[in-house]
Amino acid sequence: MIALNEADRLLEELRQTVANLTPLVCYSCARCSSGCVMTDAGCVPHSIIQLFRLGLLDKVERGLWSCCQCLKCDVRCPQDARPAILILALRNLLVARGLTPPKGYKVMLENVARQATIQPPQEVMNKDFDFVSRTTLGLPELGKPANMDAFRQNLKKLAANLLEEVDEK
Amino acid sequence: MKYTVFWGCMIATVEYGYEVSVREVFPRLGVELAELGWNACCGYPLMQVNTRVWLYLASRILAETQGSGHPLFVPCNGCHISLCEAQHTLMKHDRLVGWVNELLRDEGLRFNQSSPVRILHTIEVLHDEVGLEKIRSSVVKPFSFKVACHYGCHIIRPADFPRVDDAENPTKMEAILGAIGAKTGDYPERLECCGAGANVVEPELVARLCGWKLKSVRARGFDALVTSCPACQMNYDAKQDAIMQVVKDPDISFPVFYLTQLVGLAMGIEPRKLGLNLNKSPVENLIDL
Repeated sequence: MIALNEADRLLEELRQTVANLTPLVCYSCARCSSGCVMTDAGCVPHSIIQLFRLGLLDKVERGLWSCCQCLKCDVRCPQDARPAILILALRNLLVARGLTPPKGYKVMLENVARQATIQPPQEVMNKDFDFVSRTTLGLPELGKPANMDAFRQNLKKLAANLLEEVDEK
Repeated sequence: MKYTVFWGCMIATVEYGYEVSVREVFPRLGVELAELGWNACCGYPLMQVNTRVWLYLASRILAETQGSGHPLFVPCNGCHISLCEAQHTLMKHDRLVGWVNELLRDEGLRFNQSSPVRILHTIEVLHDEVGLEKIRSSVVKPFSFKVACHYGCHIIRPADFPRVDDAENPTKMEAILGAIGAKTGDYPERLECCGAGANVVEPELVARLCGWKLKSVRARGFDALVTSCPACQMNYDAKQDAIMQVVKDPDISFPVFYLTQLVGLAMGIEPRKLGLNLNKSPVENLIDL
């Protein structure tokens, strides 16, 4: 499909832009990492930028999935190097190259392909220890997209590698 | 004032206190809500693994809203950034509009670049649209406690497209709470993230992060924490028991409210009608349930 290839090309352009700009403008002031709440999990934004600059993608991977994308580093970087966007682009790039993302992402996408939302409405317990639902709370049923088949087909077109286990129906 | 409302996955499936309180409070402030007709993921969490999936999912919602003719009210911070960023991307890149419309065609939808959607978060509807004067005049039971505001990250960042409030010094939530009589105040952890985006891989660290903020806020003399995002609320409110198990500290137990629940209380609405018996944190320490 031509349009899909076109989008692939645009995303590749985006990746190139990030790859070209980010490492070049960063001078490692570490303002990003000093405000980061996920450094304990190995996510150290300025070091991710440096590792990327050196081409050490395997070393980047460790902290890559711990970033909670709060975007604080993006806003505070004096050079507009956008560490959070680099992390986002790297995650996309690695998954597109066949890396299996953390399980939760795959489960969320599969659920969306099956039922449109990440989870169906749950029963929750209130402070009287009663289980309540949308119905008992008097909330309206929200419904699913009218054409779930087309919706699912579109998701499979876009992310076939992550949706192998989702049936057509 | 009439808006099409998009609830998203969290509010509509588990964080009912937000939806219940919005539906109680908004009509009394002259805000009418029209339903979108369906609920589906906004794409935001999936952006991390596939940006194309995100852009497709977000664009469907924008396209359907264009058909409704109303601005779009989005109470969730994550859905709000997702839809704002998607529209920002589509307005900038004509070719992506063509690409996304080819996918949307199979669903009978089309994103029209010439009529972008106005997208508003709860804080914007209350502060910018309804206005502080109207909120102030609807108060019958001024809320007298001292509350700490937690904005959440995604309504104030990033900086390259318009957000709800200033990235480093937001003030709108404090202004709304001031209008209902509550005391607020700055505190060093005010802009810190709840960590929800890392729940998928680092649940323990996220619990420690939330515990740290809850404990700090209590130590600084606040009576409660206020949020306007279902992901933040779930982390600070619904997961308090789990946080206590991780950090082994009973001082974590602390009341956490949705902004709309506090506005509703000040308007004299009965706590249960605002979903306050759905909060897991000890809100009963401050109000009679």
